[in-house]
Amino acid sequence: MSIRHYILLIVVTVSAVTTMAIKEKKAMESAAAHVQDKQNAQSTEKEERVWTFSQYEFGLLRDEQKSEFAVNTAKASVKNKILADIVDLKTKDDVLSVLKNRDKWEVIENKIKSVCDKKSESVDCKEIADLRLNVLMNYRARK
Amino acid sequence: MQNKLIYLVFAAVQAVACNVPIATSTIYYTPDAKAQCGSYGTKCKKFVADVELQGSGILTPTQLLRYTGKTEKRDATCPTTKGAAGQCMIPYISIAADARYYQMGDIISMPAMKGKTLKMEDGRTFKHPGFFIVHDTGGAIKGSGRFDFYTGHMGADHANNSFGYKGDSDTTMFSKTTCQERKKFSKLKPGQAGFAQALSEINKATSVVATEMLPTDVKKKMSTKGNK
Repeated sequence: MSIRHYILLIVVTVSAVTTMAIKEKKAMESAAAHVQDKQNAQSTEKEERVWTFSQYEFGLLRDEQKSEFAVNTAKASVKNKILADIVDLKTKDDVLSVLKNRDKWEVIENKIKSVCDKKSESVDCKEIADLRLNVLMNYRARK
Repeated sequence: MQNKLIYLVFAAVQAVACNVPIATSTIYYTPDAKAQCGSYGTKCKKFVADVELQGSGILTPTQLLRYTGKTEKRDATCPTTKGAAGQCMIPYISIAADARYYQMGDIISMPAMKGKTLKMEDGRTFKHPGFFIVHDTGGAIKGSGRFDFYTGHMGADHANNSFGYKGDSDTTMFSKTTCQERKKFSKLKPGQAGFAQALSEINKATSVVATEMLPTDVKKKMSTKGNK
């Protein structure tokens, strides 16, 4: 075989390997994209958010958690427009007092849910959700 | 070959969640300094590493070590550890869920688990009621189908951990990429039809074995105090 044949053989081989690699990459990209789509579809499913404590859940908490939530909620209700519109809670005792009354708290809980389900991305709703989440996260057993 | 590996890894990383209502499951536990270091009060490497990974561990019968490095007083009447809302965690029953979608105290029904025989730490068995209680939450527990199943003092490699590596294929929960029908679940909220009945079945199933689920030193302590 002449040098020209060798060069031709190398060129053909390199070309074939490159084509195979590109096809393989495309197939992998397609598979990964399919998985990604599935993931995205799942994450956009309508999931019912919890915005604040129910009276039942609040009743389970440690005393220090109840106190922490009440203090922070009273502070937040001054600046948080959604909270201020729904209920007048100026002190820790105001919050604890309302939470003792199942019917009163349920009304507040439902109003928050109704507003925040529609405005789930608003800063105020995030702040309301964080009042509960922080109290739970700070005391969790799992990392 | 390198490309293939990269894309396979990419696909695997993406495919970490099962489609709801199939649960994406993992397991966690409470490490115990005595079991891992030989004595209480000792912060050996394995114990500290496990606490950092799991979240908390029993340093002494009266002290809990958090992953933050802080120690806190442990309630001796709770043989395991307490969850996010302060409830004592029950092996094989308590789970951690995403608090954005679940309230502490919610019950998760998983019918395929009902009647499954699970091993306790001491080798004895009990029948699972098919229900779990959301008792905890975690920083990495994200999504409405994502649950972390609590296994008491048994790590994933413990011989008797029915949810772990050595458990039966129809009870294991350690793999979040295993999306099987048996992990199909639904939520029961307090006050909802079926909630009280589920709670009663959980109590019935766990009361039979409650003391056997506890570590020996705690059992002794509790029996001397007259607590249950």
